[in-house]
Amino acid sequence: MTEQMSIMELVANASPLVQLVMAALALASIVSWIMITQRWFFFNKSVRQADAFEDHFWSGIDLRELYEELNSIEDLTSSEGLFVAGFQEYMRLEGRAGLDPEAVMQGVQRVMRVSLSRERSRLETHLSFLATVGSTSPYVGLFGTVWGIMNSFRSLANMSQATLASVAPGISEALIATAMGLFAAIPAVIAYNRYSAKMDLLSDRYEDFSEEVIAILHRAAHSRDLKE
Amino acid sequence: MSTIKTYFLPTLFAILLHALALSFLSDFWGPSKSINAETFEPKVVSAKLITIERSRTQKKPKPEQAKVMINERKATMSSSSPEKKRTNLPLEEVKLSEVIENSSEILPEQDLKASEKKEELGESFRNDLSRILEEELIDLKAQGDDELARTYRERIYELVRLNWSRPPSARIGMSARLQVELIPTGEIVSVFVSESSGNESFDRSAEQAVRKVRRFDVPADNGLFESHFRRFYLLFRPDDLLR
Repeated sequence: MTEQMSIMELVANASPLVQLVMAALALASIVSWIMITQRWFFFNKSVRQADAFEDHFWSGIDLRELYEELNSIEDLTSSEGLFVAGFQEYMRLEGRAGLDPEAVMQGVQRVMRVSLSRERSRLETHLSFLATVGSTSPYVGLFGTVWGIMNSFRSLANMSQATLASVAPGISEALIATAMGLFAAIPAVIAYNRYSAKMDLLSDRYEDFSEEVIAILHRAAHSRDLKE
Repeated sequence: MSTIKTYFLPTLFAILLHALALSFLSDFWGPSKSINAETFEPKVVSAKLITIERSRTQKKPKPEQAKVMINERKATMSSSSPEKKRTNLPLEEVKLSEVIENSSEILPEQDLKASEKKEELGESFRNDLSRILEEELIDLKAQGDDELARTYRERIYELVRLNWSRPPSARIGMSARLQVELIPTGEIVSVFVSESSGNESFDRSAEQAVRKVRRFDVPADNGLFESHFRRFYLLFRPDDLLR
């Protein structure tokens, strides 16, 4: 039957502005899904890495050995990165004569704080995009719908005989924009909530870990002081 | 470089997901299989003048003279224009039985009463009728007229049946009787439900069906019109629901 219309026809027949809105929403949806999957892999990897490294760290291994082992690897992330940054600073300052342990610890703390905030910003990447898509795309879709319905009613005004068949396609095609907005928004909002919870969890974990490393280095610095 | 690599798989996944969603949508919402448009050609009973044979041997009156039952399967058209888009509902087959009876001249008061008691009393009613008719229809002229009237009546049924769109609330056993009054041009003067089915929308649909016709074909012969079509009853009954 010719009256039956496919979704493609509806999109193709929509007004340019509505089409633009639809294209923007489709793009937003695709990009947000890219972010969602990328973040998924990223968080899984980060948790796995942190688990493995912390197990290794607390296995009683000599920290100097661990540092040597890791130092060759560049571009370290998560807990490994934190540990390496802190320990590296400790090694550097420890070698200097006449530096009291408090000063060494201050330096170590500063470096670890920097490295921690870098880790946090790494965790945060793309989350703001997901939040934006989640909160704005329903409105963008609604705008497309309102515009489409507006046009379809305006063209109705020019008709001598108003039938449902003359308005219905216009409204239907306009409503696709809202549907697309929601289609883009719902996964983005869910992902945003989930990932921000995960991010909090991981950043707390990094913080705890860096405190633990600082405590160990602090002990080491003061015991060295006592030895001398 | 490694950051780009981490985006490769997600991009692939995202695009695949959207392609899947799109294909699902266009499949699901796409051009739906065309409903085989079975149009039931209305059977139009052509009214032809019946030559009156002057043979006096035939005396048998027909019981259908006053009560005609038509049990024909007919599709109700959901809308009056067949080229309009069809709904997905399957065409409902409706058997519409209509009882038309003439009340103005031939049928006295007791016939009206008898006809109000429906099927159960049909047989006795019929006998009753036959007796009355036997008395009245001795003349073959009348029989010829009756033949002609029946043709017109068939056409009236046909028109009403075509215009009747049965409401979803119609159930087996419902019946509504409508009294229709015409003027000699065939236009409807009044339609009202003389015996309700108990279901308002059913009654209304029946009334609508008659009103939609606007103008019936009636015999030009004034006598025939007066005796058969000035006032008649239509009985609406959805017989074959829930088969």
